[in-house]
Amino acid sequence: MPLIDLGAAIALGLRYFTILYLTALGGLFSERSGIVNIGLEGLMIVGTIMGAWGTIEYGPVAGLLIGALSGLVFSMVHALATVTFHVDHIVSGVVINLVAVGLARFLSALFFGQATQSDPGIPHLNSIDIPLLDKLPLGLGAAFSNMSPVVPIAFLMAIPTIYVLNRTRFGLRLRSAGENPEAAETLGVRVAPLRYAGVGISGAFAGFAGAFLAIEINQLFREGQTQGLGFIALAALILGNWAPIKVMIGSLLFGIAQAIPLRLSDAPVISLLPEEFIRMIPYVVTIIAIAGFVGRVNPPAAAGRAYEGSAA
Amino acid sequence: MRSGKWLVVVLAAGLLASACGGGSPGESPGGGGSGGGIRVGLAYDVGGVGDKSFNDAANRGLQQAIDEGIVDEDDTEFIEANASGSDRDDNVIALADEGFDLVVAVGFAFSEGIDKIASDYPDVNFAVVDGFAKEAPNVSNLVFKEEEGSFLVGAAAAMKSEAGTVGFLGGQQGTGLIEKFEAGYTAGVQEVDPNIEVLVEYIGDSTAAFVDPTKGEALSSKMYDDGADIIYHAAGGSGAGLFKAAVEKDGLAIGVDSDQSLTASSEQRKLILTSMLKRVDTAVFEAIQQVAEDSFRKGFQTFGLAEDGVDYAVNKYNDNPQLLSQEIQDELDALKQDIIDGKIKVPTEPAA
Repeated sequence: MPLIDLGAAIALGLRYFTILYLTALGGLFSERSGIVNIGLEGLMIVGTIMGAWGTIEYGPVAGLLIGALSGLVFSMVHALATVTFHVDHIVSGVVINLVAVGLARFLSALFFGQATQSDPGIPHLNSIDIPLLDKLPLGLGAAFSNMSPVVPIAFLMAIPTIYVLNRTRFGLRLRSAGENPEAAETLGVRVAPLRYAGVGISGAFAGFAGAFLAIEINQLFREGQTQGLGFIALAALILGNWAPIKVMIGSLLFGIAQAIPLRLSDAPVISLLPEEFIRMIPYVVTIIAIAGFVGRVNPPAAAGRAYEGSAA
Repeated sequence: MRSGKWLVVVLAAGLLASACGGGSPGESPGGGGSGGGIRVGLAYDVGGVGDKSFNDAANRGLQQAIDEGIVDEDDTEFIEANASGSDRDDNVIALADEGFDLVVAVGFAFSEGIDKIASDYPDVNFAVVDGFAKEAPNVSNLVFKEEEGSFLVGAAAAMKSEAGTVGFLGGQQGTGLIEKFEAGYTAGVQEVDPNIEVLVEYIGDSTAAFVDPTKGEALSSKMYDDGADIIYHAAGGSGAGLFKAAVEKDGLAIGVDSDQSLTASSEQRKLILTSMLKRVDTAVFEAIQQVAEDSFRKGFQTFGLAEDGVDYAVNKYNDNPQLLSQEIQDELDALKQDIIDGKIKVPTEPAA
């Protein structure tokens, strides 16, 4: 196998990783605050359309931020439904995913004059080479050259996430809202605002990931381009046991698995498999990882449970 | 439970917004005049007018009929399907109820609905683009010989290729439709030079394969890396990934369905050799003309090279020696004539 393919496969895997990890990190905030969020896919979709519009109007940096902001705003529907009105989290998440598709279509017609896509080649950030790593021999340097600057940012996001969750008053209270809201409230912690914040952060992350997909990877908005990656991000979150570093490993695993059928279909061993099986690899990896090898899944104790609050 | 009511309001507002995305009935903006001719209704599929693809092509066919005075603009109407396409049948029924002489359904997905509806409206003629509706006295399926157009762009690729390797990027595998494009393309390449290798990649096995530019780009990059210098796609929206890969790898690309040089970005169109044109406008125009002349052809009407139903694209961007030179165009036109004359038979299934 030419090693250049391995480098290209890693580069592609890192693109998928970036989408998955950013989205999963957002989901982590939501779920650690006690709100299950299966609407990540829908929040990403809102990020793709708003990010594409933003980059055309104001450039790629603004586009990414507008994507994040729109995800945040849209996620407030989920927060309102689950925190304030105690709607079942799964039902509300499904609604988010359904409405996002229609909303994106409506906005696409408004922004681009066509219902399902923008023009191609929308403005994007200049790609970068990672010093030293891009000089790796045997074609592996390709994995670390010509990379979107958002990719390393995704890795780095683990640091503020760990810090906020473990070292700040906000993070600790957020976690208490997700583990035992009754106990938190008896200690004077107001649960509802924390849960709004958790959901809002997940919306911002997912919207940012969607904007990254549209602006940096595809360089256009296209209906359906998220391809269910929001759900794979959810799987990475579960596989990573709601812990930032483990979620990173899970996202890397799923990201690389996505790349295998696309870049390594003629690699040794893999090429012996029938085509259909090679295409199954990402899904098989996901199912095995979730069903078999996670060990004890340890979700936040109060996640998915409505909290009525003492003042109700 | 007061709060519960509010939630319903919020959700209803959201769903309304999503429904608006689908589109609503509209009449063509009016010209004057009163024709005593036929009345034509169009049921567009998901995407509606402005999709720069199927629906717009059908609309051009209608406009041509209006321009040539076959049908009066006031006697036309269209309805766009909603986002999920769940109201396709209702739209066709609405048009049939209004007593149009011809109802054109733009897309294969209308076929099964037309099967049920057509017998209730014996005085209305139904035409289904890409259709597979059952035989009925008032139903015509307008289908295309995609393999013939693909043959020509395959020949163009073979004439242009310097690497001796070209590629094909397919969308959904397993239905036989995209395989027709592959078969024609490969046959066209081999007609010109049997020694050229054709790399083939399919994106997936579901319709999601047509809206995945990420995978489209990844597979195109792989084929360029593996030595292909020209790639033809039949992958719908995923083809955007091919054009992006072409820019990054400095390869040539071939578009599909419509003249994609016209909708590509400026750096992409320098690399688009040509596009395989599927003339939905021709088919729609023909159907309208047939009804006007009372010669509506039921069953299947096939639009190949002979009927101007498929073709290769020449435009102001590729009509030059760097891309589609005059010599190549002359050779392609000779091949086109051979196919029309029956001297070349184009296969519809890839060789095993």
